[in-house]
Amino acid sequence: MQIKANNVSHVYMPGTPFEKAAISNVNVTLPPHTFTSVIGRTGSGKSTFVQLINGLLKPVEGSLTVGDFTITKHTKQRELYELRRKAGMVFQYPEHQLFEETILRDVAFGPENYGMTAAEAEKTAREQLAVTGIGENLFERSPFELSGGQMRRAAIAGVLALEPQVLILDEPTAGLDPQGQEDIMKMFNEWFHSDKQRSVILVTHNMEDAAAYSDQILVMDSGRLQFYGTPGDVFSRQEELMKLGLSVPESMRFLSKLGAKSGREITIERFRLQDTVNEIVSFLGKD
Amino acid sequence: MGNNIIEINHLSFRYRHSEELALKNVNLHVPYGQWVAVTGHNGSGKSTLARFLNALLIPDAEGAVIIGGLNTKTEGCRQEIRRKAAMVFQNPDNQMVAPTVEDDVAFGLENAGVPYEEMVIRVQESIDKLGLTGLEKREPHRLSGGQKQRAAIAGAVAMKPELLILDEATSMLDPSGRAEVIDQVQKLRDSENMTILTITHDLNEAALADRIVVMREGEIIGDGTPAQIFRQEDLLKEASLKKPFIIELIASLREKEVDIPEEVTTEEELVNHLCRLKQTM
Repeated sequence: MQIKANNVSHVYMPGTPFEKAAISNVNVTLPPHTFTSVIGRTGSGKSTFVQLINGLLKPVEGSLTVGDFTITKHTKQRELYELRRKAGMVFQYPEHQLFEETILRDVAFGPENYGMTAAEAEKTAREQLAVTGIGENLFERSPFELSGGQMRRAAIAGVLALEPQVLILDEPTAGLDPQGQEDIMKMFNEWFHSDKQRSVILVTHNMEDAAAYSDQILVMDSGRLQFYGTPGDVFSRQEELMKLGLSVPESMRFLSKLGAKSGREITIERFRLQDTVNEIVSFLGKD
Repeated sequence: MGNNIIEINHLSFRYRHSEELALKNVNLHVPYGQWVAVTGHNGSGKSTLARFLNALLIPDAEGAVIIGGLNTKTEGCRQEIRRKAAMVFQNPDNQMVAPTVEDDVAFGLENAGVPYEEMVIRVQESIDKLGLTGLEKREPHRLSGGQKQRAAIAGAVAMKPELLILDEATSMLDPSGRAEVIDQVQKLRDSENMTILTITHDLNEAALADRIVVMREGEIIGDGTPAQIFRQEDLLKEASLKKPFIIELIASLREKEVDIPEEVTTEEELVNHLCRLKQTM
């Protein structure tokens, strides 16, 4: 579904001495079936923005449309119930929210809560645990007996079990080791590509992930959407990104240094290792 | 003997209710002034190991952990060991206890009964060392993640420890916060000659250390300089670690028969080398 922010602003604790503008006048459209990354330093408003999309927060000004739903400051909480299912949110450190006695029951809790029968919910839970790579031998274990990486997967299965169309991921790989990070990102990418109805919104500090998976990248700072575009567009604005405390993928940084030092024309919008290697090989072969 | 601040001998450990050993016969000697990065996958035993260094965990019969000549098994030594070995943890939001940066940095000193005049001097020194000058009166919630972690390190440094342990202290920070903290750690090592042990699975960070120790399932499976470690493909794979991009790039270029000598290991060197190659072609 399409997601559209129309001049959205959000303020924390309005009317108190602690009032703090978190998001100001954001306008953007995320077309259906797109993978969008949101980058920006800590406190730039990234998390606030994505929480507005699934109705956890309501805009103080402006409106959001998410598929058929429209959210304004007048929207009632119960009208957002269905939206929360359609736009599933994986918070930072989602494993902190595991609570049931067994993995299977934890994952089945959400769908049951949304009205599935116990049997249906269990079936869904089994399917989604398989998607996230949790083996059946772990289904009856307590969530707290699993490793950190497994707990994270189980928690993600709990969100997928609601069969969302939009998956909102707030730094989903934080704290995992490099192999775990790569596995989880690949899993989200597969989930996204396996159905044309699905969208992903990823909040990340990892420029490599943003470059590798996204159709478009939103750059936030001080609660404002500074600019956005394809990975190529966004990362070609290296100086602006540096000023915002952000960086570019290492492959690009390397190629732009090589271009500057050698004084030759080099395409720097290369995000994967192999593409970077090919670019360097053709650089050496040119003349 | 006397040249090592850390001496770990035959250390094995099993958490209660767990079948597997969290540490298996770990032996590690670290001389004064060295920066060691301990790395490995989630659950490899890195953080457990760190908890033995400041006597939060105590070895049973066989193993021994000796910090600056003091054995952690001796109960009377533990307080002294914790003063020698200061630890900073992962989450910047869980570490500040006082209403302002300077109060927070003073917290440990106050507990240790340091006289007021000396405390004022040491607090300011530590704040300056960590590049927080001007933020003395700032409240913790108005600091960035990088500033919070630097304040936590300042609190540790004020106690004049001989060993600073950073347990994934940068993993929750954004890239600029991470760079800030690492930059300050490098300065502490260079100007204070402090021994530093960082626990991280970011090999870009580990590449800056003098020595990398690789752990897997409670065992040390690799120990050497960054250059030595990055050469061992199988070791890194086994430990679920990812080589720094530049090392990966060099290896892939060699596969394409681009001639790159052994001594090229950094971004700068590779750029220069490629430019030279281009000229001679």
